[in-house]
Amino acid sequence: MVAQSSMYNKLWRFTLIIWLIGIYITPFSIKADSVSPMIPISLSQWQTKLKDHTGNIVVVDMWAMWCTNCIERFPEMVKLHNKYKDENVIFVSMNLDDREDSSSIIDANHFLATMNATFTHYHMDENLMLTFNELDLLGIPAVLIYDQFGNEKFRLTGDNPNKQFTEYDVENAIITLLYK
Amino acid sequence: MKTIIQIAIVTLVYSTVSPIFAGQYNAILNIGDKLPEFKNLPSITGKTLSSDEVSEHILVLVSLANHCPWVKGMDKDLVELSQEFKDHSVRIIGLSMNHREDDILPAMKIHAENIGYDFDYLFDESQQLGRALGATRTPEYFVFNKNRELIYMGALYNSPAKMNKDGSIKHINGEPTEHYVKNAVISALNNKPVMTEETRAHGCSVKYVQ
Repeated sequence: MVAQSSMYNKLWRFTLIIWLIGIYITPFSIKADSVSPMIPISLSQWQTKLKDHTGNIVVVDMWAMWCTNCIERFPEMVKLHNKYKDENVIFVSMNLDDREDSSSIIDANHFLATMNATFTHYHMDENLMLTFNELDLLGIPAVLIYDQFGNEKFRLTGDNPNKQFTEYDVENAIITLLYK
Repeated sequence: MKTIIQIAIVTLVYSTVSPIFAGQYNAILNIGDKLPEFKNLPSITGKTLSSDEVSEHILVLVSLANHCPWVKGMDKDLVELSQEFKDHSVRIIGLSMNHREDDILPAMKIHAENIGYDFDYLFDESQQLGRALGATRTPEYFVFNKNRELIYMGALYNSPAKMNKDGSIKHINGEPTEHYVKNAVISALNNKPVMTEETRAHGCSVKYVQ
């Protein structure tokens, strides 16, 4: 009787441990295929973060919920990410909604989940005008593409009315850096 | 001869590696450039307007987009600006270039009525004027003097405002302390030089048809 009780106790402990391990592991196993929420980042952290990706081509999509052109173009980035994710091309989104506008931040995370954008997402945790000045941006959408050495090689923007970028420009830039 | 060749090489290299911008923040237009001509652009008034019909000394052109929260954020201040100079020889003209349904003429009329625009609001369907101005964001201001030379371009003031989803308006850097457009107009009316000629306009991007 005592031996049977001890066996049940061991079985119960074993089950509990397996269950706890399951709880711990599951989020990480899901994370690989799910959309992570945006990570707040400062301008100085951003520069360091870019250096972390040296050795890869990095495609950065600058966007915000207030930018309808960005929202319209975002599916193109998801498509390109899915196409090039196995070729040392890292896609990153940088959200430029006002850090004090919590409603937009919630909407942005929801939007990314809806888009099934499984790459890394950042939110610039800085004053908006300072961010545009420091990143030398006139407007968004803007796509910045860095080579394997961390150098900005392409800056695709809408700054010139006669030369607005398209999805093909983004892909051509990636191909140029991949096969140069 | 050697110096000329060196200058030519430097110019060539510079032009290939640097983005070619006319102004500091504008790819097409620079301070001192002439007003691009426009012909028979339809206005919310039901009439059309051409550049040679504008007789006021100062002309303020502003690119707008009804849907843009940065336009909605400063709409009230734009109307105030118009009111402030109504007894002076100043003409304010709004301009919409996007082809979205909520940015074209019928929607422009409704927006202007709701906000109380008391100036012409033109629809630049061909986007020719927008391109000639190098207007890539909304709102973006262009101030021309009586000779129709550009004396200011950029933001309305130093703290752009955005309308949030709940209708509240928030300036990025608190209440504006420098009113660039107003200051440029006052300077021009007094035949004085404009202190700040160009700033970085902040707002939504204009969608140009390629």
